[in-house]
Amino acid sequence: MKAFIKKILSHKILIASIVIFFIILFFNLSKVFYSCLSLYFFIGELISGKDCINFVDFFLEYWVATIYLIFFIVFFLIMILKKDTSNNKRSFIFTKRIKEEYKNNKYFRFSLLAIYTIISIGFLAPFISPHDPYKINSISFTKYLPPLSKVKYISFNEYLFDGYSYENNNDLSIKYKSKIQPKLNTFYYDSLKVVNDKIIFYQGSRIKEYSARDLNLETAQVNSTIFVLGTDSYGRDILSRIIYGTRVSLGIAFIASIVSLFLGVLLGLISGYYNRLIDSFIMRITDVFLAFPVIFLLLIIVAFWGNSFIYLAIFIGITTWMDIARLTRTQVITVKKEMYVTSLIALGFKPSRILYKHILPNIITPIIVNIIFRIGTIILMESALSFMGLGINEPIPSWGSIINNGKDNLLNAWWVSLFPGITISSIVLLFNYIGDCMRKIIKVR
Amino acid sequence: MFKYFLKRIFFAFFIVLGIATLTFIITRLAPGDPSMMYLSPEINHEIAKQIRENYGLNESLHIQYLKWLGVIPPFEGIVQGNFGYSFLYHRPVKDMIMDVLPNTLFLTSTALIINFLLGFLLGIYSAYNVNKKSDKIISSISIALYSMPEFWVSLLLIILFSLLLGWFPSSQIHSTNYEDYSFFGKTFDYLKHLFLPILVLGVFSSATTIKYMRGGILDILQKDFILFARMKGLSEKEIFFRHVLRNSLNPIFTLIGLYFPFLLGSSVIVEYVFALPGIGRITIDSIFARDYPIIITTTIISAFLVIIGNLISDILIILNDPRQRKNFR
Repeated sequence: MKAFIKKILSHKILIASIVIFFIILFFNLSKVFYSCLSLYFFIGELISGKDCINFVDFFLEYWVATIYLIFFIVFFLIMILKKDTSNNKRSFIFTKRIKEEYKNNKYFRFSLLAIYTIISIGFLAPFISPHDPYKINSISFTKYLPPLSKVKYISFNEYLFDGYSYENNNDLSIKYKSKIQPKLNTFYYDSLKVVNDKIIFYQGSRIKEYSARDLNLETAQVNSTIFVLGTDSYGRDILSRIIYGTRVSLGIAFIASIVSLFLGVLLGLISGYYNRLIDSFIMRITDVFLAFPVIFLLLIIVAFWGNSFIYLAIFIGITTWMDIARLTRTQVITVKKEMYVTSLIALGFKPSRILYKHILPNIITPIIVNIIFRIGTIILMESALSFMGLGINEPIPSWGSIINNGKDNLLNAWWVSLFPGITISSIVLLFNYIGDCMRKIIKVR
Repeated sequence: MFKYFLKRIFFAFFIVLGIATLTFIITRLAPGDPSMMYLSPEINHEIAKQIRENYGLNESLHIQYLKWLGVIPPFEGIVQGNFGYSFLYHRPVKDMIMDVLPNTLFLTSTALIINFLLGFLLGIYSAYNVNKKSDKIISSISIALYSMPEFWVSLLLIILFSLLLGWFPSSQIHSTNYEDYSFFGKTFDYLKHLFLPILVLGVFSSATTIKYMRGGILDILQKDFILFARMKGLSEKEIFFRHVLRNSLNPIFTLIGLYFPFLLGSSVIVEYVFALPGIGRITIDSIFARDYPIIITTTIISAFLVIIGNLISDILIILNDPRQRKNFR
């Protein structure tokens, strides 16, 4: 028993993340529950072939967050409780070296953990962001609030005149929506006065009057909230926007790097392995792409063909595969001279099999290291695009577009541009540091 | 070797043609009719057709392509040096480019020089003080600078130097009373406006140079011939200038070829933030307005600059290291 507890306690990071995940789960229990329910009904409707459009747009992020949360809690519990089998497991030398580095280098450990935390924040954004990143509420009062400013607010459930509330709605999607994110009338104010049947809000220099009959007074909640990193020009909380922006920026970075990895490795393998004609043809194409400043090409493609999430990721992938193709090609050319490839060719194996099963595993490590560096560059590229207004469209937050929002009021509202920039720099720094460590690991071999 | 460079120049034309074609395809195949940007929907159908004809947008795509190339005799295309007429500004593209090209060239070349000066000095310094505190500080600062987005750094510099301290202007390339200055006043004004952009481009791209310079010199310092030179009793200065420097320069010269596209790309962003009239600024404006002739011309020019950069880097490598000649055949 003692040994068992000791073994469990040795997984410090797993335990810490489970505890944090449980805390998040505890504070968002009803949201998690209703998103599970809505997912269940969505799947039911999908199977029975009904039209379920109202489901997807709102619930998707909650489903993803719920699945992430539950999956990782279960996964980590299994990791802790399962028997230790790492000794008799077959593993690559590369992964072994990474584990060694992880044990010895505390900065490497820290940066991996930080990346894991940031990815989790991105997935769990709807559960942990303190405010709604899209909601614009009394702009003239809430815009450009400095960091750590405390604001009082009063909120009412949205009032329905026909006595027909959202909770008892027949449309399940509306019901679950109101459970997960109750429809609220929120008013921020400095001070508040009730005169006869009127409520008067003093918002800075501005005074707003509301008739009490318009508001659902029974559900009134008086509270105060803190905008930790301040608000932008529309009064939206910057911390929440940064948290939500993680998903756009990192998501695009990962998908784009996968696309460019795929394209680059494919073209590199083909041009390195096959005869000179194909090789020189592909290399000329690579030259043409390399002679473009990447951001030029990207700007043109994105401006002309559209800038939705998936398009951006694919376009960034299409414009950054050249280095990987060249790297793969040189690697293939060196490996091709070795004895085992010659003997495989002599045995009459198909080129596709030789390339995929024998050459690729031998050359993949430097390519993966290159890709890790690439992720940092792609994050920078995406933020530059969003900054210039060619990235993801405005209401959806991306780090670059938050900086763009603060561009017009730099001196008075420095916090709008400062914090997302710090986020970008530190995340790119983390990726670059991990890449550096990986490069060192390869060189040792 | 001369033959090799002739071949390179010959291929360079094909690369430029390829880039122009690629841009043509990307821009013209995109959904949406370009003339929609300039014509109001209520305009008379006949007039709209006439305008489209004037711009040459009514014909099928391959005819447009050949005309634009200048292969069909009566029409002059890029082969004859006619880059077309801007839809947006109603001026010949050539004139517009000529107005702004010097700014971009000055910006990027000065940035390149600063980059290499910094890279040389700091790289050599940190290689000779390897694993000391100063080396660690230099490498950590350079990796931090390398990770920052240029546009954000530009904004921070604007906050600090233009808004708080008021030392440098935050945008444009001339002051409003530029015409009244004397010659030196004009030059000073020009430099003052370009100082922050050059700082961003030069200093923030020098991280890579520092890293490569440091790595190269460290590699060479471990070689046996350096040990031998020390054994002979040569002074460190002599060893450095005779043996270390020239041997470690090759990777740096390869970097020059890579820096040209990088600096041009960065100058797009910097010109956007500082509102400088340059190639990048014009390209962004014309991309937003779907002004095809300008987009294609600027991409051709940038490709030319990139190819010239590659040639320069090859020539420098050969001048520095004659052993490399056998690679350039």
